[in-house]
Amino acid sequence: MSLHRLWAIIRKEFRHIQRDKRTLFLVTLSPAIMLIAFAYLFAFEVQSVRLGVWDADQSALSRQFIASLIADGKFSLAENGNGYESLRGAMMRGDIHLGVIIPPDFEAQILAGDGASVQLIADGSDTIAAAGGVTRFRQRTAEFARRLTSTSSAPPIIVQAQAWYNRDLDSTFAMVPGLVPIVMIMPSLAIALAITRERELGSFETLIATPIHAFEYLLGKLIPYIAYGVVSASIAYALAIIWFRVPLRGPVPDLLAMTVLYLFASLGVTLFICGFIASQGTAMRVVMLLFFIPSFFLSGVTLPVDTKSGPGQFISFLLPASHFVQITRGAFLKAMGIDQLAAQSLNLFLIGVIPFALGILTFRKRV
Amino acid sequence: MTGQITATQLSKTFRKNQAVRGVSFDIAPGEIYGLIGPDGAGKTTTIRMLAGVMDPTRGTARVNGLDTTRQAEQLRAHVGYMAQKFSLYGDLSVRENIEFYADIFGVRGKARAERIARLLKFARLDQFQDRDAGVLSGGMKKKLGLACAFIHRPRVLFLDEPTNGVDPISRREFWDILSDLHIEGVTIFISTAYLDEAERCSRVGLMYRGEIIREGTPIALRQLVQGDLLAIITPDLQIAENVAQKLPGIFEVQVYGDRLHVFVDAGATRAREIEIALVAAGATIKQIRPAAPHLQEAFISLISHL
Ligand SMILES: Nc1ncnc2c1ncn2[C@@H]1O[C@H](COP(=O)(O)OP(=O)(O)OP(=O)(O)O)[C@@H](O)[C@H]1O
Ligand SMILES: [Mg+2]
Repeated sequence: MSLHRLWAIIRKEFRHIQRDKRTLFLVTLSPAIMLIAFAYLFAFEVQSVRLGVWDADQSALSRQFIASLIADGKFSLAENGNGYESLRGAMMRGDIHLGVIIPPDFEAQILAGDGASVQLIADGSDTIAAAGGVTRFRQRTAEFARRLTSTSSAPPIIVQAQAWYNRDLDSTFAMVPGLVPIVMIMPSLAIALAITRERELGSFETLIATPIHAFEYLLGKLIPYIAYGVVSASIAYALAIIWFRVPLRGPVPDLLAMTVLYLFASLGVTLFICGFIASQGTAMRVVMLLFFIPSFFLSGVTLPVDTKSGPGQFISFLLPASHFVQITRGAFLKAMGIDQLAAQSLNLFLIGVIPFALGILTFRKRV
Repeated sequence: MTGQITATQLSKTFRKNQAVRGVSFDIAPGEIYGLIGPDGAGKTTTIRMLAGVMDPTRGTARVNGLDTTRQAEQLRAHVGYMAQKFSLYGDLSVRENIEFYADIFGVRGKARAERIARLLKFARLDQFQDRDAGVLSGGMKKKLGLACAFIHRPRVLFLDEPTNGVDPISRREFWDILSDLHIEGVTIFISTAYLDEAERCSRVGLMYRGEIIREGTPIALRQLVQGDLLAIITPDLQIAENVAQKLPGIFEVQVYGDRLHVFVDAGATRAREIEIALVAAGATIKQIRPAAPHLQEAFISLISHL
């Protein structure tokens, strides 16, 4: 291990990044641009939000209320529950995005003019559909209430969204922090292309004939991409805060530290895999197939992950994005710091350090 | 074997393709050894195994007494290697490229600046040191590659077709640099498809289909050619070739640009016969004379008799 050689690789890699416009774009602005695209795509996509309802009242008015919710098809009734647990179960299975609980005295309270309250449970900020759904649900309820109370002034239906983070779900863009893990795939793509480009061009064969160690080579590649990864993540965070007006409630240094861990994990896995890949084309496809697509569906960014069982859960655990999505949401919406997100941080560290170590062990200094 | 580069029965098989079939070398310190052969002969594979960047399927090689497979990492400091498909970092300047390899090879302190300056001068690149390597001419790239391979002053240089695709003037310049290194006592193992370059080597191995079919000094190899060589200059090459091939006492006919090279059993008598036959066939003959075979003719002749 020689710090001189490590530094030589680091400096060379920084120069490559700075001098190649495509790479520079990949590791600075491209995540922010993708974030804008995804945010608007998800925010305004007319997506059917699946609703589970536990109607404890079973009155004419409660049935009318439910019918008004699903009238235009933007909500669909996916579950008729008979208790908290049935709604929770359906939510765990990913059958429903939102659960609505209509109290037994719903009709009576409204008729008495006292106003009723319905409870809404959304699985935290965990799905994009839920985030959009809460806003829409509030609008629907208000419309229904207005029709009932054209004469009186008091709002007769109060929506009590469960837990304290409902306030954030009201924002159309509450899901933006949860999208950051997906767009932060770009540094992985960039490093995969850089490594395979060096192999394709033949420079790697020259490096084989030098005293470079696997550790120096891999760490020398990793560090510049982590550095630029933090830059691009910061741009994405700034965009979320300034443009999408999502408040960052958690401590900034903690978020950045956990971002470094995420980059370490995703780049570490990429470095390991790239040891077995010869061409840039293959590298690109593998990164897309391995990270991008599963991160979309299995990390909990767009769909809830069944946390108890299932084969998807194992894959989900291995995906760095699954842990980082909890981190970005926690830091932004729930004011969580690294102490509260220690488990996720540790997972990311392990997901990074194991493949990185394997990458060193399996590194072949031969053509 | 006590040579600086030794190999015994070195072989490499890719799937079913036997690229190198049991080649052996014993190369003394200070030699320039030329590995000559057509495309696909196995030159690159051989050099890779000797330079410790590819493991042989069978056989062993030693450079500076170190096993190129088991002691490959110890070998790195003593060996410079310029791959056939070598590539500099096109987005780094000439100086940055050399500095990178200097750092990787642990060339530090005062030696670093001195050596880089000297190599830049040596490779006649000192005026271009701030230019991006990617925009250099082909010949300059090769010289920079050589400078990078030599930054740690190795005792042995492996160069795989370093002058391929380079104009003749740059090729000569490259060889002048190699001569200087040779004078400094560096052992050079070089592969090339240009036979004229082989004439500048101290020893040449002719590689064909994975085997070294002949080995010796350029002079010795030239003398392996069977019979005498006649050079015939004629504007009617096609006719001359067809006619000459059918005459008695002819081993072989090769066309070179504006002339025909004919290998015959006895130069003096056959020259007369050929001249008569060609004139009878209506070909004009500008000149017909005995010639000394170059390595080129020797090699083609050797291969065609295998
Ligand atoms: N990495 C490899 N994998 C599979 N086959 C290979 C590999 N490298 C070389 N070969 C095959 O081995 C044979 C010898 O190739 P090699 O590159 O050593 O020849 P060469 O003499 O250097 O030719 P050239 O003049 O084209 O460089 C060829 O048939 C080639 O296709
Ligand atoms: Mg070759």
